[in-house]
Amino acid sequence: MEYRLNYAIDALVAPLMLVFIELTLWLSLFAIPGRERIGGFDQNSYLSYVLWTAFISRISTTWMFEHRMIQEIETGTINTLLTRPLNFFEYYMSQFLGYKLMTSFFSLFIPMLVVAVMGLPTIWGRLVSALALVVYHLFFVQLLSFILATSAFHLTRVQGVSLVKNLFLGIVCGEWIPLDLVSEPLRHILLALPFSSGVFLPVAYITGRIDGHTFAQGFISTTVGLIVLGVMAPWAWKKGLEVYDGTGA
Amino acid sequence: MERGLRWLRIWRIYGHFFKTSLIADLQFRTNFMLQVLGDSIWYCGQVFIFEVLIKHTQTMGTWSAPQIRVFLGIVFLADALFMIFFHENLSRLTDKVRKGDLDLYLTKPISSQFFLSFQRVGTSYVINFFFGMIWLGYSLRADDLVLPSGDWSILILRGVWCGILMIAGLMIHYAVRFILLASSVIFTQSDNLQFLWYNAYRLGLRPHKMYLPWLRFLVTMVIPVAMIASIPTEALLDSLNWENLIWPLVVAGGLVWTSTVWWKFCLKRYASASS
Repeated sequence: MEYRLNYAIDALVAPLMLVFIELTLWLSLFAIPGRERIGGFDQNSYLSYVLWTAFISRISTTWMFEHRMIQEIETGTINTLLTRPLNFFEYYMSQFLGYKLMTSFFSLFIPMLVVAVMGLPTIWGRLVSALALVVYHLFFVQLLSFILATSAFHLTRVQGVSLVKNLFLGIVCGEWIPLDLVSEPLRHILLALPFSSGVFLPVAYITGRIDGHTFAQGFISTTVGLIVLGVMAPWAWKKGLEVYDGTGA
Repeated sequence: MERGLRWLRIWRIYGHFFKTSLIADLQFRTNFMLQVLGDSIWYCGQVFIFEVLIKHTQTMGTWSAPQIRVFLGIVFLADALFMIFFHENLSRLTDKVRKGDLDLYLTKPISSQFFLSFQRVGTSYVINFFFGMIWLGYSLRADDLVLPSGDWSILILRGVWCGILMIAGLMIHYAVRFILLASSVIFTQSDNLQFLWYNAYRLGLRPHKMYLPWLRFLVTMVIPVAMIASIPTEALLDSLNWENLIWPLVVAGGLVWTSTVWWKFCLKRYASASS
């Protein structure tokens, strides 16, 4: 909370701006006379989706901590952690989870208030389980960021890799567009991947776009993703330390 | 004569900037390819979003699917041009102010704004420019694209004017970003302003004709992001509108002049961090 302005922008201003931009898109698309539904859903459904997505996506993204991890390795300041009885991954995971907990508390207040006032489609009983999936998904994204950060041991500039990964995630998680608008079989593939658990599955579940069965698959795919990344992470870390010579400090 | 020699000198300096940037970029070949890949994924993402939306809506504003694809081509070219000429320079400006590296630029016998804005050339994005050209060529040759009536000379004139408006849009984009970044000389932190501009820029990545009237006015007259891609596309596809042909040039000239005046104002308040 020392950097209150930065926090306010990250937790409040950023999602509000995102909501505004996406609202302009869907309001414009539905402004065409005779256009009542798009992809089987009405305007209010999309407004609700956009509102929840803007705030849920702030919780499930990890680029800030990813950049810090990469920078620590690039500059050699990781030496201070390596010489202490601290695990690099656990250190950043605890920071990450702590920050996200604070962000969630303030971020979710706004969409909850707006959907309640405007009466947008929201199934309140599903909110807790949706957030549970988001929190579960956080472990997956942080593990992914950790593995990507270890590439800083081998490459001189990793920010480009980080950018590519975050762009890709933005598309496949449903932040840019609801995944249920995508044609088959691509939709099936995207929903089967763990990335959709970060935004689309929890938001679509809250707004009633998907049923419980599809939602539950998010837990399964995220678990599979955690197992796969859980095997890769220690290997990537070990390989990175083997070539690390700590001259940046 | 003297002015001509000055321009020649600027072109020669820019030639050196290009050469050193290319050499530097080719030394980090992985990063070179990653930059190309990153922008390509962004292009694919834009195509993905619009193709999904068009599948369900058929039109956006008054533009049909083939016309939207032409608009996307203009977006890609506009983005590539900005990344080539300005992105690498502007993204490092606030760091230079914070670390005191700006002093090096202020002591050179050349305009500091020119030096800061043009020193690095994003040579890797030249490849993305060609991707954009390929997409634009592909979308212009679509069988179902309806172009405005007129013979070849009119079409060529439209193409030339589209190019001129794209340059105006590029200048507008540069000027606004430079003005916001220059404020870091006074305020130290201007990342928040950059964030606000980036979100405004995203409004310009969609056809302005699809927006509600009040928003269309906002993105054309107040925050002129529509001039980056929408107005040039309109010159290519729609009936000619003299307002949209002249106004972007006026705005571009005005904003570039404002950026120069603002930069000089900020420099008067600059306190070096290195001394």
